[in-house]
Amino acid sequence: MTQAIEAVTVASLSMALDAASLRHQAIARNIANAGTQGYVPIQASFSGQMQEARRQLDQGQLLSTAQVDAMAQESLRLEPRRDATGLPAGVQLDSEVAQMAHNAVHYQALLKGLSQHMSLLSSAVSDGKR
Amino acid sequence: MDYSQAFAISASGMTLERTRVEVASLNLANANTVAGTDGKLFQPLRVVARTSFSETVAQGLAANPVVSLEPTQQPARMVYEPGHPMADARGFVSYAGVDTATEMVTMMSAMRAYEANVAAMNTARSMAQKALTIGGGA
Amino acid sequence: MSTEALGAVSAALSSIAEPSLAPLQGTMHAGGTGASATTGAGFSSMVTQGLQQVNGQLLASQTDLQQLSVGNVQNLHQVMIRLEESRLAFQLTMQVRNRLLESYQDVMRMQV
Repeated sequence: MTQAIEAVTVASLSMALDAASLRHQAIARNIANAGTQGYVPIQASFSGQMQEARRQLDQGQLLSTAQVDAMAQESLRLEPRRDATGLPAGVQLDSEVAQMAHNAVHYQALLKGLSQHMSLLSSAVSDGKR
Repeated sequence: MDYSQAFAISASGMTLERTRVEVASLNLANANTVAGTDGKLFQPLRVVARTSFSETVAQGLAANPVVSLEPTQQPARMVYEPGHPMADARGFVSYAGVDTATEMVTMMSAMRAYEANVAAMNTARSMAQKALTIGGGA
Repeated sequence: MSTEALGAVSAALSSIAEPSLAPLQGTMHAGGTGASATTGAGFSSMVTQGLQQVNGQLLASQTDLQQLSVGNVQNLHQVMIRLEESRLAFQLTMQVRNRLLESYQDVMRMQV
């Protein structure tokens, strides 16, 4: 029954959380295989719909459920990382760790936003009383 | 604060310092090489990182410096070894002109700069985490 | 919160406010039906304005959350501050509504 209440924000936040955890798995795999011979690091790529959604939000218009569903369906692709010449790049440990730190902060920010949103809804549901 | 840019900036700084250390260790490894049969001697490399202020302003703070490796034109180090197979007519062998002291100083300063970049990144991360505690605790 | 729900709430509140305030002030002031009507209308418009402000704040924080989920993080502390402000404003509105309802029920319970 709670699906009707602000479903778009919850759906978009959970999609972003899925993307962040997938990105973490890719980074962890790269770090674990840093010393392996012939290993090609993978990275998670954004879909083009993110750009479209970003533009829409910049104009002040909220996303629709269909948009969020389409973005979640397309699901982040993992592709091999290539350097400037198109050849597979090597694993650079410090940039992997920097990406991991960034991803962790992003994950925590998403979680915090989701919990604030839920607490607002719960205060509405419980009539302002505990 | 856009924390994604903060991480990217520190990451590019760390990459540059790591490149500097790699080049210094490459120079040190080739410190005692002689000229080959084709007469070409190892020229110590130098990392040149260029960044233009207008580019930085235009692209925002995350503009990466342009890093290039350029060979220095150091004169060869001549050592008197008459019995050496590569000695010239006067008995001198020309070794690569690698200044060990300079390379060591480069490595140490690159490591300090690397640590400073790591400290900057850690600070940015804890600032973002502290910002997340706004409104918490109830 | 959707604008339709808040609009319905504000209409309900204004309909409660006007009849409850008008008889009180009609008995206290001798010839003041005109004054009581404008006071009632002033209060309900105040309530509606407050509700619209809170609604605007909530919509802005929803937009911020969706920006965050798409990955557009311009200003993290600004987002958190606005989220907390909208939450507090909403809770304040809830408390105001509870007090109003209580006072209305108190008045209704009075023996005539």
